[in-house]
Amino acid sequence: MLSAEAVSLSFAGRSVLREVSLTVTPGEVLGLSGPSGAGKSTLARVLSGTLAPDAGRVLWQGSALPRHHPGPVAHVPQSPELAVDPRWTVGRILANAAPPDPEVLAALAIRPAWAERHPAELSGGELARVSLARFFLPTTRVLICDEITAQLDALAAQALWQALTPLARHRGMALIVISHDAALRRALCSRQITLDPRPVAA
Amino acid sequence: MTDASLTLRPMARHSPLRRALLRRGALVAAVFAAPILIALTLPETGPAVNALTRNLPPSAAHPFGTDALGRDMAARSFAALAVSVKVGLFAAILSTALAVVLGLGAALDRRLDWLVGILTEMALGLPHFVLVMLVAYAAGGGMWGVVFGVGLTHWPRLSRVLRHEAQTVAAADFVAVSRALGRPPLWIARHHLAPHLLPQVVAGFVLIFPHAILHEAGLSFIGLGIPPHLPSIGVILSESLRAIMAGHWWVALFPGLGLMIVALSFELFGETLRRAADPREGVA
Repeated sequence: MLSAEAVSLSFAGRSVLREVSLTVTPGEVLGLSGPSGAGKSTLARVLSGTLAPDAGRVLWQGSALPRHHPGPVAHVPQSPELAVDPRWTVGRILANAAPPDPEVLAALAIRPAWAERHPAELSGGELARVSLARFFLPTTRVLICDEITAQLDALAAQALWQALTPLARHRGMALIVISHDAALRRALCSRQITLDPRPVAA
Repeated sequence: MTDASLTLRPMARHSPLRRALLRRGALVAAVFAAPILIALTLPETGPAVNALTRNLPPSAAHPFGTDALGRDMAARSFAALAVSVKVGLFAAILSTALAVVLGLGAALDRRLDWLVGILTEMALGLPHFVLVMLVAYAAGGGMWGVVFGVGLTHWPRLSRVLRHEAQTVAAADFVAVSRALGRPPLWIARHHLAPHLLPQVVAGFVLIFPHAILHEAGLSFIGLGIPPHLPSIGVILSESLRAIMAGHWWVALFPGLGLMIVALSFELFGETLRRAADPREGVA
């Protein structure tokens, strides 16, 4: 179980997160929304352990989030085309942390022929699936999907979620779905939280 | 759909490029080594002055003709190419090494960035050739004067490119992902940073090489470079101005062609190296 207790963070005097608390239980699909600038991606980085909060704690199974990477919480960033090295082949991207899991590749319809290609040779939807697949490590228990289908058309987005949610459920992984799309969150999530917009000056 | 199909195949893609790289590398090594080897087999004093063989056009005895002092131009050209290749290579290596160290240093350290910025403004703000002359003079002239004159003044453009590229890659999302996936900084430097910087380094190196040879000609012309009794492409080409006026075209043509072949083969090699470093490019 992942929990955040009164997490606060400010950048250069500007408060971005103020006493945010949440819990995610295994296998749960949690929706996270909030207006632009409310700190959704910052919260994702704090929860995944790549950014330390100024105050409050992030707990994994009741104790502090492990310091080593890759940890139990993975943050799938927005804009897959920026999140992959354009000089790497798809095969190398997929095998960055560990050899790719054939079950994940099959579920996300990633074709072996792509292994030799470069990111520029894939479509947006294909690249989004490749970027996503690398975070399915044996250690990953919570996957934070940060607007991962925002730049896809409706059909490609639907295909991705229809592949991703059963795969996560099957592996007992929890999902945190960050999205501006209220209909999508309603369809996917069992519970939703909203981050309030922050006042400009702290 | 197995692991092997995803991890082994990307390696196979590089092999045709690697082969092309090796082929062209061998060609360039041959083109570069030939004048040096031929020059080594020639007598050390260089071709003798001979009043009976002045200004002869190309023939079987003198395939490149002779100059106004009756010296065999084939022997002079090869000796000159050997000097010019050495000057160009040393100057390009020195300048590229400085650009890599100062550019990466500036990207990593704020104080060094400030210092390198000032040095860059100075080097780019002063008239370029004046600076080359000053350094060459201070270094005592001769071949090493040219090497230091060109090498110490030609790093700023490349170092600025490398500084910018390094900062861009370091801030990229894909580097954050690799870090989150547990990759240490040195691994990221080797697998993300180096592949992005290498093409720029190669391009900078390849551009400086012919440039250095031209500076050698300029410096030698005004007496700060290679002394006139030593053959160099710069010395020969500046002397040949008078010979061409008199219709003795061979004095300029063959050494000029030799320089062109060396410079072009070097560029071809650089282009292959750049493509090998950028897997998005197809094989030539």
